[in-house]
Amino acid sequence: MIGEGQTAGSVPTIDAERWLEEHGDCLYRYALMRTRDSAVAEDLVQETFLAALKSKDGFLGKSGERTWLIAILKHKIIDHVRRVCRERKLLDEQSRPGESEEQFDEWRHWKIRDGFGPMEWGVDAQALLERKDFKAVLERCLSALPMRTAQAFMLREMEDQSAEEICKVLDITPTNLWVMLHRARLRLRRCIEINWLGTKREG
Amino acid sequence: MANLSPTRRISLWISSLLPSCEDVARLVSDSHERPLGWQHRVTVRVHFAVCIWCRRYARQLRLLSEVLRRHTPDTSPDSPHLPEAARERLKQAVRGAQE
Ligand SMILES: [Zn+2]
Repeated sequence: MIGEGQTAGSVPTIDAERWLEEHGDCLYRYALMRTRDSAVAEDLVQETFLAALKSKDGFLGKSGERTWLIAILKHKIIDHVRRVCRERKLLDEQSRPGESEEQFDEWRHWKIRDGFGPMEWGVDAQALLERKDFKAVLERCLSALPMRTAQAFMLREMEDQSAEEICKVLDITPTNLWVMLHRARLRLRRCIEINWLGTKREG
Repeated sequence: MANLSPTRRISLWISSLLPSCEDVARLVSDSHERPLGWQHRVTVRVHFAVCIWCRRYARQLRLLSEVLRRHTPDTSPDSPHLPEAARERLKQAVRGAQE
């Protein structure tokens, strides 16, 4: 912090502090969900603001402010995941093979009698997105996935990264990736069905 | 293989033609990642015709894909907030960077 207090009144200061007020929580949640580490999430938000200050030219006007900041944050998160994978800190936790396959019987059909068969959800995407309680369940279910599986799945479905890019970032083969995505989908849909639709039906 | 009875062989052959739900679930997931070959597409179609569970599964995956693509963080009051200490540190860092 060199020469603090000399820039009082300069416009950029006001901008950045307003950003912090208006988008700080949102960016933090975004990063926390993807890194599961509050210290890392804080750092990434800070890096995002600093990068944003440097590249004001990419700014699309006040209405697109959050989108622009999130776009910067996305890059920071991907860099972070890549770094962690390279340092082998994100170990391939031996996700118990039973975890997702437990939904199938010995004939490898859905265990209908034990309630594992997919139910009729009877909603569309718009209806789901408008529900706050659904969002909370979705985020809880994502955070229940094993870390590496969750990273692969979120990069694919939420960040819309190509398989090639994800394999590079996570240092895995395409076949690994497909298996991970398959498991993630099985577990996620199951988790949502029990925790959200389950309570909706009977509650 | 040689000492299997003909009936056993036939039943094995038939079950190899009938994919399991687990196989179909994997193919449905893969179809989000890459175009399936025509044999696999036929396998899935034929299975869908007789299995409502896998049909629902495929619909749920499409729905989740759309929801996730459009997802923005939960903003309800009980969702996590940027801690006060971090907010202060960030403010300092931002000010420092502007000088
Ligand atoms: Zn089936």
